[in-house]
Amino acid sequence: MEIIAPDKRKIAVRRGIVDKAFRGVVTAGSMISLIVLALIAAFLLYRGFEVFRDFGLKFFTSSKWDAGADDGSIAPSFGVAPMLVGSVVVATIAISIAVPFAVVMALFLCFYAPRFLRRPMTSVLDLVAAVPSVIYGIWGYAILMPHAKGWAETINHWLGWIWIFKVPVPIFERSPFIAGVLLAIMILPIVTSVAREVYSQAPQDQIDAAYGLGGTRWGAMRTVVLPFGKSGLVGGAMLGLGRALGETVAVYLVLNLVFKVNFQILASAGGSVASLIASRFGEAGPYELKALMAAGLVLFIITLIVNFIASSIVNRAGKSQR
Amino acid sequence: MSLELHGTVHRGDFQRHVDVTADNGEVVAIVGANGSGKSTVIHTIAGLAALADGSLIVNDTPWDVPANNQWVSPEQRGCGVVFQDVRLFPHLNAVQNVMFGLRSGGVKRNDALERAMETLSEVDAHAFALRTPASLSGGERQRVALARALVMKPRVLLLDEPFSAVDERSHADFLQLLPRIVRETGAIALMVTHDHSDVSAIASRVVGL
Repeated sequence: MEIIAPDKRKIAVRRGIVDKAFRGVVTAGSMISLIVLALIAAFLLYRGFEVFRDFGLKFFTSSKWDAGADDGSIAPSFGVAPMLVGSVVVATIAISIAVPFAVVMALFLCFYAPRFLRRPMTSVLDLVAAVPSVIYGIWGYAILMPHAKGWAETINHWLGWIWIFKVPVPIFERSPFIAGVLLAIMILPIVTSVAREVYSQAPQDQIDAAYGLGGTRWGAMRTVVLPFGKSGLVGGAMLGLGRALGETVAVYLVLNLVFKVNFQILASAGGSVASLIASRFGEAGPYELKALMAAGLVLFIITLIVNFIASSIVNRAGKSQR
Repeated sequence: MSLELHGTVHRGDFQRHVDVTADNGEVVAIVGANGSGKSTVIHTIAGLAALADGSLIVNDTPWDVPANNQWVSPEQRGCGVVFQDVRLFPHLNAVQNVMFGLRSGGVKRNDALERAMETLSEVDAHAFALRTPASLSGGERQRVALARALVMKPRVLLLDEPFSAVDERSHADFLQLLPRIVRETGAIALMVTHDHSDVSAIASRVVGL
């Protein structure tokens, strides 16, 4: 017997004037942010288009950044490969350090911290997130770097046989490692904040079920809370990663910008797209400015992709928990 | 072994004085109207809610005596609970759910797996051992929840309407299985139920709330 599915019903909803007005306001609000985003991208593309056209793929693969001579005797050459690699390396170090600490801190705040400590600690954490990055940069340069230099020497001493921990010359200051540690400290509050929010929503009945079956507190964390918050944590980490990739001043102060692709994280050479822009913007000529705009567009797209991945993961997490 | 609960159980704004006693190898039925505090009694004995006053003493050990500030944490009580709303861990499959308590107690993975599969077989749930709770029917979930509690060989088995969703044949099987396990392990079983045939079939004592 053939089964014929009925046609889809069309339901017309007649909305009241207040509903229509509210819908208009929220639609306009969301459209404004999209329009601003599109305008930024269009502006960067417009200003950087000439450089993309002149250098093509070389702009992404070349390690040379030379504005050339004003009289035209030396042709300009622009490539962001070391800065792209540097951005990814520094952000990866930051995330690798920040996420485990964020998980531990969030679990402590949600489940272990005494009630009287919970609120002040949360407030302090939120406050730390609001400290301007230039302050972090100065602190990183003056206080963190002398200490982190010693940590880098220790890592190099014990793990120097691993290629990424080798250094061509024994100078351990202003390295991607130090920039990564500083960025980890900077993004720790935001990742912790997201993790705390997600963990605090872990279903209490599931936690009770774990206890009711002889589970320890750690067993309940491992079986209920961590899996429940896994995707939310990834979303938080991606937000942190977005900030780490785009961080300018702090990285500029503690990282030695060198136009050479470098994966050796303890060596005093590295870079990031954001700090390249910060360092060159003031003295750039018109054509170099275009190159910096093009670099800005690359960073903009990378950040957008990271945020897009983050929201997809968070959305998927929401669906899987339903 | 014996269990003696004399005191006020509470959850949120709800409070009620209860007296429950049970000896080892016994199935005690807890009956009462909706909202009479049956589930709260189960939660209190499991250590998921604290007594407001009175005492809960199991085998001469004070599990919860507010006046003396005595409290035994849930994981140290050795209870196995089947919750009214089942509460299987959604991201774990059936056998992993059953293994949870054993693994938390430090049992090695292979031993835990073996015991979990045996227990799933006992409740006729081995066929869907690798399926996640979302893909199981209500009755199948209840079987897994029962296996998850039984696998621990608990000293105190707490069952909150454990057979409400299982089919008639399985229901009859469980009514034979449960007293046998309780007898063999010398455990105490407290079962919340609305089904009078369950009470007359397996309960040696009835507590009315």
